[in-house]
Amino acid sequence: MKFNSIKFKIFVLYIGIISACLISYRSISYIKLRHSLIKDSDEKLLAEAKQISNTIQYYLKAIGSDEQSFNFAVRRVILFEGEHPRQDKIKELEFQWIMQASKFDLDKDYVSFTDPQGAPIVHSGNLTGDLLNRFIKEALAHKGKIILQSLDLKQDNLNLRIISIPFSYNASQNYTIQVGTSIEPSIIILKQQLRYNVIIIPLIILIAILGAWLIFRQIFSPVMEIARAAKNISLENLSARVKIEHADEEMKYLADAFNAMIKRLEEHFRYITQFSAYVSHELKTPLAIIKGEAELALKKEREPKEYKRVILVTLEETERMLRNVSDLLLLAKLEYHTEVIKFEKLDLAELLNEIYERTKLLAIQKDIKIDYKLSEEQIRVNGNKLHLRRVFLNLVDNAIKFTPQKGKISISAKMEDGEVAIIVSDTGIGIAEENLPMLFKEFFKDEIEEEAETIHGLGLHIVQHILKIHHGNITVKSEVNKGSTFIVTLPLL
Amino acid sequence: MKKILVVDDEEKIRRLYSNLLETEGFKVFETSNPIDANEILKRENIDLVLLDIRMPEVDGGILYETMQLFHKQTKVVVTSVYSLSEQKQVISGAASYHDKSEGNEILLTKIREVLKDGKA
Repeated sequence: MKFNSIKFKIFVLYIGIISACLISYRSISYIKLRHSLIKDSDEKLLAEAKQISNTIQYYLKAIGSDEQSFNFAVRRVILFEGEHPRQDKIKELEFQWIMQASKFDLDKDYVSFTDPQGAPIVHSGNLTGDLLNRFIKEALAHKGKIILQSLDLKQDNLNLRIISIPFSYNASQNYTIQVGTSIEPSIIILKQQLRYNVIIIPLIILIAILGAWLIFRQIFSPVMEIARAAKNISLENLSARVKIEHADEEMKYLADAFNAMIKRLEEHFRYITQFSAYVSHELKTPLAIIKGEAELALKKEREPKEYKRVILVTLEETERMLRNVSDLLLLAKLEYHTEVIKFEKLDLAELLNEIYERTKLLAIQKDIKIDYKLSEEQIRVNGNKLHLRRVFLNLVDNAIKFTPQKGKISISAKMEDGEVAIIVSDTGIGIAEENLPMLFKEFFKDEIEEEAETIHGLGLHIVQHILKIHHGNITVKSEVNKGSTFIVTLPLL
Repeated sequence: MKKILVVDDEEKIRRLYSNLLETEGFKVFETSNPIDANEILKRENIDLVLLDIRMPEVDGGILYETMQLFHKQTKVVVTSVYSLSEQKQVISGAASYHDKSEGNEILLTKIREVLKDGKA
């Protein structure tokens, strides 16, 4: 997994969040557990100590608070030992105390009763040696306040919680009752929890990692598909498409967009291939002619007339190539760089008048009548003067070219519905019906006449293109030997 | 005298080849459309046809097929501005192929070889 990848980032984020949540949740649980266990234990201790304190006071009340009675009461409550002359007075109390003491589990706890100087008066049997000393130390330290303390004696394997509460006897004297209880059970519980956490947390994280891996595979496999298809796509192999079953919404969107892009590329490439073939043919043929004629002429001495002919052919073919080159460049511009073509507001009537004047001269040579009629004096459109002139010159020149002597052509313009329709029709040789659909297709070449090169092939295709970028259109109607009619429409300003 | 039929769209090519071949002593017929070509093939005993194939529309292909059926003995030299390998992809099995940009001498050599050996 690369460190820079989406997978890695999401993975880290996801595992990080899960781990953080898991760990903090378990930690808080653990802490709360510990807190409540200690609190429980402390409450018990406090109740126990208080009860001991109260019970001793009750005894003293019953049998008197002289020193002998005091010592007896303390011993009797804590150790259940000793005798007293007035013992029968406390029979009821003792009975109650024994019940309570068994509820406390008093025999398991560590109890100590110390005098104000810290000397132990009574302590439970299990309180010995070092432990006893510790108890005494705490007793001295507590200074008449209730104090709870933890005591951790590793050498004796003891974990105690000790409470020290003051006991007043003889008014101003501060004796101390201390009760200590083992918190071993709590510790065992806590240790168990910890062990459990140590196992569970990594396990859950592992499962999360596994889950992440599986999900990632499913999510990202379309991406890998697309990448693989993209790698396989080349000029020769544009048929590759991405097929995705059970795709997520976003991936399907991506795959569809990708496939659409490839389709468009395929179309563009096909166009370019056709274009190249056309170009190469249209340029190589004149060159082959020029070369052939030159070679032949140079083979032996020729008449000047012959040399002149060859030079003329060279000139004609050169001009043909120049026309082709500029046509092809224009076509490329129309296809891919339409923003380069500048538009301006112009008067179409003025343009058509210009063309009409020019055509009159041509028409006279073939004794052709021109019928010229514009419905308005001014026809305002948005367009490129140069290109529009080319369009109409093209159409009108062809009309003349393909109409025999004494024929007729008509040029008219009509405005309707925000559009202007310019109609150029002739009584010429017409176009065969089967050729009509191909007329405007690029690279189409009609075989009827040699002069056909100037209108078919690139000519009409460029015308249509120019009109398209002017948001206009061109249509044609024709009948063989009757004539043709071309209708150009343009939006009015 | 050997008879050669030139089939090509371009008038200037037809004229060039006619001049060239007549100077070399061949009798030349020329046409731009396959129907006329068929007529000439029927009428005359044509020895060799210079056949232009226009790609990508391949009009010459149809005439070639017809010739294979009815005038198999007439040799065909395919001509085009496209490269030899591209021409062979369009029509395979012709006697020879000529790239027009290679010039007259190579064309003449190929014609002579085909007329002599049947292949060039």
